[in-house]
Amino acid sequence: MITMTDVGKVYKSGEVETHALKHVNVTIEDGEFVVILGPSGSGKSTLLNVISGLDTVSSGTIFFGSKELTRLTMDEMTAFRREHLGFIFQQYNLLQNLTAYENVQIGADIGRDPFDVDELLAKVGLNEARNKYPHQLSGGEQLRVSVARSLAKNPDIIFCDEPTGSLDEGNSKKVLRLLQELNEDFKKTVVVITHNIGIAEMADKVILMNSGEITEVRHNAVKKDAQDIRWG
Amino acid sequence: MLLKNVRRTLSKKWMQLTAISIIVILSSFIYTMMSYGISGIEEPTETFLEEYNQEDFAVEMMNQLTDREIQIFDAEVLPAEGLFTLHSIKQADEALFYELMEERIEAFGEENDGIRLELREMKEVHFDDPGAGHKALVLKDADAINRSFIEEGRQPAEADEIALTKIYAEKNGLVIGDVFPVHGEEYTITGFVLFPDYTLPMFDDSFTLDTGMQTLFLFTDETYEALSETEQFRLAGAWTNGETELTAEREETNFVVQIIDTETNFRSGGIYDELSSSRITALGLSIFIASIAVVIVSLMMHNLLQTERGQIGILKALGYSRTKIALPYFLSLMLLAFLMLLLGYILGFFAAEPLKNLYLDFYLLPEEPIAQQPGVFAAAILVPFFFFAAVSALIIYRILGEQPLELLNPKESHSVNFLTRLVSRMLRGARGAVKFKYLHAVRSTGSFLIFFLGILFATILILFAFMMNGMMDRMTTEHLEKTDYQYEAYPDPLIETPDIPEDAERFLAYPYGSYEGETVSLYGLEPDNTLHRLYDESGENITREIEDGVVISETMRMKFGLDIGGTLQLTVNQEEVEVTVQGVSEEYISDKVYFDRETLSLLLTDDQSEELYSGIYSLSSPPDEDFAAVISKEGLMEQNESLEGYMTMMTNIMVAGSGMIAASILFVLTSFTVEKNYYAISLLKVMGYSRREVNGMILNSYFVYTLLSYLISIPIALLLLRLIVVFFADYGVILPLRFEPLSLVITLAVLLLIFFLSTYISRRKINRISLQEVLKKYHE
Ligand SMILES: Nc1ncnc2c1ncn2[C@@H]1O[C@H](COP(=O)(O)OP(=O)(O)OP(=O)(O)O)[C@@H](O)[C@H]1O
Ligand SMILES: [Mg+2]
Repeated sequence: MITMTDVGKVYKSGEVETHALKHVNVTIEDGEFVVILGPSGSGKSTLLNVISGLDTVSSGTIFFGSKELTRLTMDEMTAFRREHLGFIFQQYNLLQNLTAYENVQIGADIGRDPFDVDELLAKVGLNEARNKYPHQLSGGEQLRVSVARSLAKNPDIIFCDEPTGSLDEGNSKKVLRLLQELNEDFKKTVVVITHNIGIAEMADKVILMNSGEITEVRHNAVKKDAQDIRWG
Repeated sequence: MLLKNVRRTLSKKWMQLTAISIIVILSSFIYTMMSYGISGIEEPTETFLEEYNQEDFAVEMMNQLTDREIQIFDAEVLPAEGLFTLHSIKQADEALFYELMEERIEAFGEENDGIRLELREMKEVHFDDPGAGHKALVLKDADAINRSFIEEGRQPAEADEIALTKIYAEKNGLVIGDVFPVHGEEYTITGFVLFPDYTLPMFDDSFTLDTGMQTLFLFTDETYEALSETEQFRLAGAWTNGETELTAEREETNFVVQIIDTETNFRSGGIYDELSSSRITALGLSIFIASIAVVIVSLMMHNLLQTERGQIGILKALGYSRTKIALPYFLSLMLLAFLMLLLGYILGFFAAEPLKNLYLDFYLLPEEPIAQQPGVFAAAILVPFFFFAAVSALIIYRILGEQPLELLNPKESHSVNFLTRLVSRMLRGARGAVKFKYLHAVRSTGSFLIFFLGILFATILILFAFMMNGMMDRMTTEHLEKTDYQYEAYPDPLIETPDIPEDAERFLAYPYGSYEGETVSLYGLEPDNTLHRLYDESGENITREIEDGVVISETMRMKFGLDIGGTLQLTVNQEEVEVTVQGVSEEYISDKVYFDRETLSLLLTDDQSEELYSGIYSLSSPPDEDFAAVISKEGLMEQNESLEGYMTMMTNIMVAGSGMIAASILFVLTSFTVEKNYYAISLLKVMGYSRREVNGMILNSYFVYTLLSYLISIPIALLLLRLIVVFFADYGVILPLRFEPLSLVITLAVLLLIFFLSTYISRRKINRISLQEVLKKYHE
């Protein structure tokens, strides 16, 4: 369980101070499917960054279970990320000189109990493309490699920042389906940031943000299947 | 506006630019320094050797009469006892001596057409003022060949006047007009002299070249003749109508021991090879470094433009022309390159003077002030500059030639090169991180080659410098350190029974033996002597071996491919002597054959005497008045030390210079790598790879490739050394090449130090790359 208490984040650039997060209080339960919604600049990415330790908070505390993440050093935080967290980004960031298989292998290598790379590749439908280099893959294939890479180490929590931002509906739904499977079959916690209101229909919990504050937290009584959500 | 943008981009890369600048500066620096340094000597030297008529060849001759000569010249007038050397003949009957020499010159001239010969007369003087162990070669002024050249002042005209070498005077604080004592006599220095047949102060085959302790003297002829030292002779020759083949096969010319062309005569002709090899080195080194610089500049240009693709695309889409976009990049980099080349040129010009002096530290040559030359300027600056310009223009042109749309759509290199496929295959079963580690470094063939060759080159130079250093030591002091005597002294031949110190031991030296046409020195020692023992390679005392045969020096063994147990056919006094090699003494200075003194004495006196000796070894200094020459071992060692000091300095320069090149290359390439893998690094961190792991993945491959490069450089360095050995062997100088494991270790240590220093900044950069970088949208 992740508990954020009174978290604030201020960016200073020169004279200008941007309050990207103001007094944020929120909890994310183990095994939950969480969607964060909000307009551009509302602080969604910032929230994700501080929860996952990619950035530090300016005030407040964040606990993972009984572990206070806001107190960890850089190296401890790295070790924590290595053990528990996985990330999927809008941009694939594949390592250009490694094949699809090798890219996923990089992810699997640091896991304690990683998934089998071949199985994962099969699951994301990339069996054929396993020995291709990134520049030989389509955009959708590249994203799937990047998803497989994030999942390969078998993390407890998966963070996704606009995972489908640059994909068409078909490809997006495949990825979302995969996330849903991980959440349901493997009891992984999944946190997804999106502009797409439709995706919120898949969530257990929807966090709505506006100008650095949480305006509303909704619980869905019924979760929709990835295939059935409204698109756009 | 565009220019401002470019300048901002470039100023962010100041460290890379600095490293590149160092390489660019070095390329013009080395060329300029060496060109000017050499030209400051080369031109005056050529004039000097031409005008003062340097010998074309030297005829080394027997120091006694041949049987034929004994018959022609009535031998009665010659001293009956002992050895009758040319020296003693001249002492006894000068007219006869010169007649004899005329006879020899005539005989040689009859056999060989188109030559002129002149007798060269000289004496070696040892003295301890101004410093212990100093020596001079006194040359009698010649008429036509090898005439003396007075650099400054005038020639001695009075009996108490002397001229010597300028460098010796400078090093010993002497000026024209000073009084210079030799063996109690006081001489006034009237000028500084040079001789064309001694461009190196090399009077014998010991490898000591200290111009501060060895000099050349010129006196008036009368003063020269009055010196009591043993006189030596040779014939100096010149071709009158171009080079011809020389022979000495007739009976009349069997006084000839050896004919040496000036080109292969170290003392007179070494300078030719020195100058030409310096020129080649200058050119080769600077071309090599300039090529590295060109490739690195173009790599940087390429990287720069790649990261600016988006911007360039927009500008093109806006309608800016290709040249308009390119010019600011091009101009800024070319301006930088030009300034750096110019800086290198200026630094090189000033460094040329010390370099010239370094040559003059060894060579006895005239010099002239260094003047600017348009040719050197062009070669040092303009040539590399146009090279840079052409390559950069080509790259810019190619990148800018792409369509705006392609430029807006950033891409990575779209092909997988040979190296990537090779390494990939080799690492098939490895972990992902390992694959990443070794693959990213070989992604660009060009930069990988530069990296690999650069490190290779640096390692070779460093290794080489260390090996040379060890070798020098072995050639000089090592052998002297093993002997126990303090002084080596040669009695005055005019004194019948010199006062020999209690602790002294006699030896017999006969430097005119001959083996396979080459002169070898014969030494007679007591088998049970304590002051000059012989040791073999493993440090075993092998002095007693001379009771059953001879011991030869290691140099001689190497040169003629001899071995223990083999027999030697020596020519001594025109007689053939067969001896058995019983041992090899570990010394690398000259070709020596050690006999039992008794044996050698009998050999030299036609079984008349077993008591012959030519000098003594002693612990205490023998009385000066009884001995013509007293040589202190300490003085000799000091001389060697100055040579070693020079070698150490050269080593340091070589190590520092190549270290700098290696460091610059490593720094530039690793920082390129960090830049290229910016997002990958951020991503790896986000994934949970620790700081050390990320550092390792990005930089350790370079580490491993550095080691690989190092390993490859070892055999190349050895091969290079081998070539140098062959080069010197042409002069009859055998260099004791040995593989020193310690130098390998030191080289490795230096390399590792360079590696960690030069990648330190890249390490910090990696640590500073933020985790959110990976989330930013402008990459892919
Ligand atoms: N590194 C930074 N320095 C300064 N200000 C920043 C920085 N990163 C974000 N901000 C500011 O913080 C606020 C929140 O940004 P954040 O990236 O969290 O928004 P977002 O909700 O993810 O928007 P989007 O949907 O467009 O991705 C914005 O006003 C932004 O300008
Ligand atoms: Mg965002």
